[in-house]
Amino acid sequence: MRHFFHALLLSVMACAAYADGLSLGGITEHWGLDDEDEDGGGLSSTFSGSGSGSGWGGSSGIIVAPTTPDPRPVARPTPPASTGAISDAHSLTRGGAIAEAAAADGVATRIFAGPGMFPPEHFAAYAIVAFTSRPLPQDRERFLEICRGYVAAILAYSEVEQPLDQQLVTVWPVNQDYVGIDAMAQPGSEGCNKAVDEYGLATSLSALRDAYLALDPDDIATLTIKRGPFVLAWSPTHQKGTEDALILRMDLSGVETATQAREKFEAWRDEIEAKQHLWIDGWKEDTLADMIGNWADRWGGDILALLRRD
Amino acid sequence: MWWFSYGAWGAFGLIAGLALVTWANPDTNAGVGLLLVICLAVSLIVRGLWFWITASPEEEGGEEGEG
Repeated sequence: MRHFFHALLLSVMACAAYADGLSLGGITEHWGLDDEDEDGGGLSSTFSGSGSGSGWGGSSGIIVAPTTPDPRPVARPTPPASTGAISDAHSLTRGGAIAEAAAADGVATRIFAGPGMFPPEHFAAYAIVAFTSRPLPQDRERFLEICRGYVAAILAYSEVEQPLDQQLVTVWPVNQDYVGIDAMAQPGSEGCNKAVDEYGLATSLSALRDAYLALDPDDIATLTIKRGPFVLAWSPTHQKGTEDALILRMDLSGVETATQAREKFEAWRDEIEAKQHLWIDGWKEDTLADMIGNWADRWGGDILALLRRD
Repeated sequence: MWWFSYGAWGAFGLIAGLALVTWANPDTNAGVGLLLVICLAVSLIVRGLWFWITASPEEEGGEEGEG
């Protein structure tokens, strides 16, 4: 047995040294984020007129309006919330077949939005990246990584040709409108620093509370136990806050790195653009490989550091 | 025989670890290292326990005598 323990000790030390060496070697760049995405510019402050705190009660459904009344993806003045920027005729009174056909033209986009920009009624539908808390110093980097993945995977609303009412926007909430405007104006993922530090927790918690109303106990337990963030969208959007609403949702609790976040948001983008029905039935589950990889990423640093210290 | 040695089992564990890393595809170097360490440790523990349980009293005694 003495040989066994010697071999075990030597092997563990060799593996720890190998993993440490990887971080110093050329493989490191392989794990990095390909930060190719750039924002298309600033956000018009014209959203700020829409009612803050009025919830997500936009009249649009998650289906995408088939018409293209606005040739440019420019934010327009927001009409009173009661009228709705996208009329029911666009999304609710048309047949399901038309809506499904129209969905093929829709595109997933993103926006950093303050409370005054809610609800973003000009968009066909919207989702929210909902954290359960603001970042602490020790987990701020994780927030940043997720934000970088979000920026890398999803186009800014101003980068696409489609008008706003053909965009399903995924919102990263911030706590002030000007923060959202500043963050959108910065290129690439540079806006993430502001977006993370000024995260819009009130909007996020409101969305989570609304999700509790509609989800079954198992899903509520998921929301409660897991650390998040969660990407939540209501189908149709105007059912936000109602019981038995269908919620499109994605759990990012296992995400540690920007690369993982980018993969998740790519999947989210692709699903909401092409396979909306898959999201209505439940969570997008991680595969076993995802869970193992995420687990190793989450605990690898701590455990190997412990081994090296011993 | 040599393939029953700790070194051989350790090599098997590392090969299994590389397969696991390829499959699970962790994004961090620490994640890769952790999976390799786990596979290596498991392979060596299994080898040690298996041969400890199945070893005859004579062989066990001989090993202790060597030490």
